[in-house]
Amino acid sequence: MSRTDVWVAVLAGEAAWGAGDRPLPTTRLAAQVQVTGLLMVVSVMWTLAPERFAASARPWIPWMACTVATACVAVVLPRPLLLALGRRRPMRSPVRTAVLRLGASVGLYVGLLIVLPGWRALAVWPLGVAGGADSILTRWALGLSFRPRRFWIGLTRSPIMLGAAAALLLSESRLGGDAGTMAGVKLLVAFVSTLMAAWGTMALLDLIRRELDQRTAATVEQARREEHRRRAHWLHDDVCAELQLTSLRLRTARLDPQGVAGELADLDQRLRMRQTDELIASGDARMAELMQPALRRVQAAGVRLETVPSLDHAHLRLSVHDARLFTRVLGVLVSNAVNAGATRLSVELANEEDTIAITVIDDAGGFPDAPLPVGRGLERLMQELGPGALDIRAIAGGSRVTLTMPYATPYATGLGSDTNRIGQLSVGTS
Amino acid sequence: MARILLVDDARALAELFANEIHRHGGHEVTVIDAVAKVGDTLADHEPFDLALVDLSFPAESSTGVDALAMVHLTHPSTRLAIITQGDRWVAESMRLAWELLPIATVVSKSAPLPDQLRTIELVLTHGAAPLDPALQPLLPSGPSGRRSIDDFARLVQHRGHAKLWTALLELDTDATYRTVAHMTGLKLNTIKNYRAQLLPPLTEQGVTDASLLDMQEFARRSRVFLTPHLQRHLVGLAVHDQQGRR
Repeated sequence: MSRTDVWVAVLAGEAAWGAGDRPLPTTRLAAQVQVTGLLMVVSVMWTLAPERFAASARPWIPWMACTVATACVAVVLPRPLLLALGRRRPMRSPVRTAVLRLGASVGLYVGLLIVLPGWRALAVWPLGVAGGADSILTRWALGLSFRPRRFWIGLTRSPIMLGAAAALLLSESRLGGDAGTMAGVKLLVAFVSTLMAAWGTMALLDLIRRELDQRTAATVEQARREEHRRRAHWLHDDVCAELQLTSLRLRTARLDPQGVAGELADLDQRLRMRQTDELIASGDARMAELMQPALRRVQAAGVRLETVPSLDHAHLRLSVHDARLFTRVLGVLVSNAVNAGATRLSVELANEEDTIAITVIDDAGGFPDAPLPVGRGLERLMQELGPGALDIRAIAGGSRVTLTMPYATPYATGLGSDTNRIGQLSVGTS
Repeated sequence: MARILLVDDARALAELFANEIHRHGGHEVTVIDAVAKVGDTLADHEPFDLALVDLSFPAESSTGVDALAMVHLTHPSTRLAIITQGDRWVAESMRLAWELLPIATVVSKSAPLPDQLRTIELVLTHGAAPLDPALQPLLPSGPSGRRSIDDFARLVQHRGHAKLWTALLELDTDATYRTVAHMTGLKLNTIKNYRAQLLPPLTEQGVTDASLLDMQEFARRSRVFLTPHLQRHLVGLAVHDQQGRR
């Protein structure tokens, strides 16, 4: 990777290299610093400009310079402003962007020097802050390391700096230090002060980033250890306790092999429910995964699963609250069917904009005409979700029960937005 | 009597299951407990009639999808089946395998043994069997193998792309433009252009607006599907280089 390659890359800016990356807090901070620097430049310029207008024989020249410099800031400001807000704008043409950035930078600097001549040029240091933030953003996006000492030595010993210093010395020795030499000295001092501001900004932002990276790594490590401790505790308290319970029941009940298999199936179901609780707590559970304990329970009870939704219809990710409600609703509907003696069972899902309709169809003979028993699962869910949420229909030899639950704005769904469709697919016997 | 390859890291369980398959249908079952052993096993044996593969191998960087793809690429006539718990951990791998490979069936590990054995017999006799209904919500509707492994060719259109993907696969650390440029010798701008060229085919693979890190993650996940295309271009490059030197 040549030095020219890196310079061209820096000229193209962060937007060319950071595309697709999620803006980190430090990226946003650097963008905020860049925006602040640019706004400070404009503010300082317009504050000091009236004095220059008054002093100038041709005031339209500094006025034009002010306007051009402000326009240049307006050209480069939108991208860092968006990044500071945590957003990115797709780049249409990196070459166009690089040319625009170069033109705007030169226009801004020249405009500032016209408006702020002599020692006033020292006031352009915020431009260094903005440039430093821009440069460090690009370096981060490229994965380039920043070594402040090396960078500073490279800068001060660069041909431009050495050439400028040599020219001034030559001018001093040959011409005896006339006004032109003094103007050159002022210009060089202003330029160096801008570079120092850029260097300081880069060093400070990079230091903050490294410090935050170290803290994040320490937090992640701490969380990892905590997770291991939690898992160890979970294995001991939950899994071992469940095994102990099953073991005791097997020893005391003197079961036949079928009974033993039933106890183990119960154990499997309890552990699956515990696994689902953990999945829900992660805040990233899909309906497809939440359905698993209920479907396994149906199979374990010897009931034939006829139709179940495919991922096309069960891909919705639910919040912790909605996931718990979904699991409960499906669990109650399936338990009712299994306990009523179903031998075949189907599940359907239909998600509207803000509701999910969960339907269980069984061949358990249908519901009695009497009202639902008070305090039982289905009745409690109906009380909770409202009378309109429950729909019970008799079908040949069985029933079709639908419970409609509300849900909050869905998370990323992964498989498109095919809402308002009922998922069904014949999948044969289990 | 059929010849079955069973790949599962739970060795004790797999051997018990293999005994049951043998007792039930008289089939010859070869059990291996690591994806890393699949290549050697395929080389040492005649083509299997069925490969029954678990998806989760926590002790390895590879997954069951790699094993299934290896079997398919080596012996396309071998029927492929997945045997899995079907939990969240393997859901994405199962979907990937289902979409890319001709999966004959998916067997749930927690299904009753007679059902599992019946499903295996159905695959051996009819070429396919209905998948376990409990696993259906984890898979898209429609037949298996809707997408083709050949689609990955669009991700490696020329040698430059092959160099980029190879670097992403070989990097031990997180990919950055600097590290990729260092490994490949490509210019930063060239790498950026390659990334831009690969965005549309990556979107087809379900990865939108991919950063270099996203591409690295995708490459690691799809290593087995990318590698043949990378080799095709890079072998050409090696030959070209040798001719250049002469």
